[in-house]
Amino acid sequence: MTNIRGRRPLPNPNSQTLSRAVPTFPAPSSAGPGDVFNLTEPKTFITRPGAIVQLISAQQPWAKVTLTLETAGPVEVSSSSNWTFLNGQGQSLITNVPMDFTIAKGNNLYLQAGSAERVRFTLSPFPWLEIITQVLRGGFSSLATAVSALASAVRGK
Amino acid sequence: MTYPQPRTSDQIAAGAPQWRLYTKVAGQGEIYEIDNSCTAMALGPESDFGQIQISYLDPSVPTSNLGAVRLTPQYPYGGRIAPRLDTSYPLSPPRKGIVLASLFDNFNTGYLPSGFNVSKMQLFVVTPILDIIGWQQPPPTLPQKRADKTFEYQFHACTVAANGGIWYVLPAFLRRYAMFHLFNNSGATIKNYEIRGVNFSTVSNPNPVGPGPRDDAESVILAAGDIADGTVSVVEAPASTKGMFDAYAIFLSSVAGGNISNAPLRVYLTDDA
Repeated sequence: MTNIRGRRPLPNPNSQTLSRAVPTFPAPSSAGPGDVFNLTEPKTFITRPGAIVQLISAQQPWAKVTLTLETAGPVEVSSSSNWTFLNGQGQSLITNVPMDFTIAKGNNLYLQAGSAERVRFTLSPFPWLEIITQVLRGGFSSLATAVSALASAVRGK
Repeated sequence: MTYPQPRTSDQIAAGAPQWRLYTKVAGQGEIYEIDNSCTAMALGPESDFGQIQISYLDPSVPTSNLGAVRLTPQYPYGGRIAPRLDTSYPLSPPRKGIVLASLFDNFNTGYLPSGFNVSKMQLFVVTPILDIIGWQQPPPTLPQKRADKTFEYQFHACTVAANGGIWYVLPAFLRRYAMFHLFNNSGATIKNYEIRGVNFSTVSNPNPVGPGPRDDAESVILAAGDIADGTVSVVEAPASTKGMFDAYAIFLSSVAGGNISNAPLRVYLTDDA
């Protein structure tokens, strides 16, 4: 039998979840250039024929994008920066019909048109989605730390 | 044509719910560029031309990739026509896939009435207007005729010569009814008042009817005659009995030559039968 006297006790994997301390959440990122976390941004823009325009970059937090085509079109959107116009690879906007896209952080949204078209653009942030994702990420991180420590202890036994 | 050519995209950028191509046309060969799409297209109310060809890039058309539709007062086009500035017509060098508007009507800027006498006659030609409207959203109804048009002249700048006169050439493409009203209140007889219907030709003829290089066809609506002072002449020309014409040529002259005042000539044109 192995003598276990003098060994350190195993870490409690639930130590963090049993903590009575008020959990701390990461603060939302501060507003700055290009940051839409606390901004609802309505605008109307004119498309440039043949150019692929980036509407949402991957750095921006969760947001709902509403696009309304005011002109006859065609105008297409895609999450890819490289697609063939009117070839079934993008999604066409419909005149006067608002179309919503929920964009998760880390995703892009691009737009392309064959002529000068007028598009109404509204960007609505989802602050709570960022908090939820960060909390989830933090919780998973703690759990992963605990599991990792447990695994290390077992291996060292 | 207006130069530089009016850009439809400027109107769209300014927030207009439709674009309008409105310009005077100086010759049959003029082709206008439309750089915006539309959900429906029709002749505008002021259009003198009755048939406009709209050409657009259509990859399903073999070889030329050129689709076409013809606008008339009775047939506005209720479908999307869009330029494809992101791609090109299969030409060498390639041309961007813009929408093109051109005349389907015959229009001879060099028209001279047969028998035109330079020493005795003036020529007053009304430059026809091209008017096209493209809606960005489906309009509630599409117009199926142009606005009625009235030309009115009270003072006639006749040539200073015996029986010197003036020709008026008024655009009437696809109009279905015309009424000519002349009230001679000038104090003297108006001589050789005459009305002709003109169909322009695109064919060059070595022996033309008129002095112009093309063989434009003229039909007599009202044979030359005098209008006494204080009298009114009313001539109706419905298409059903007189025919349809690209233009009307109207002549009047004074006995002694020189200007005629107080003799209002009114020409009323409509798309209604």
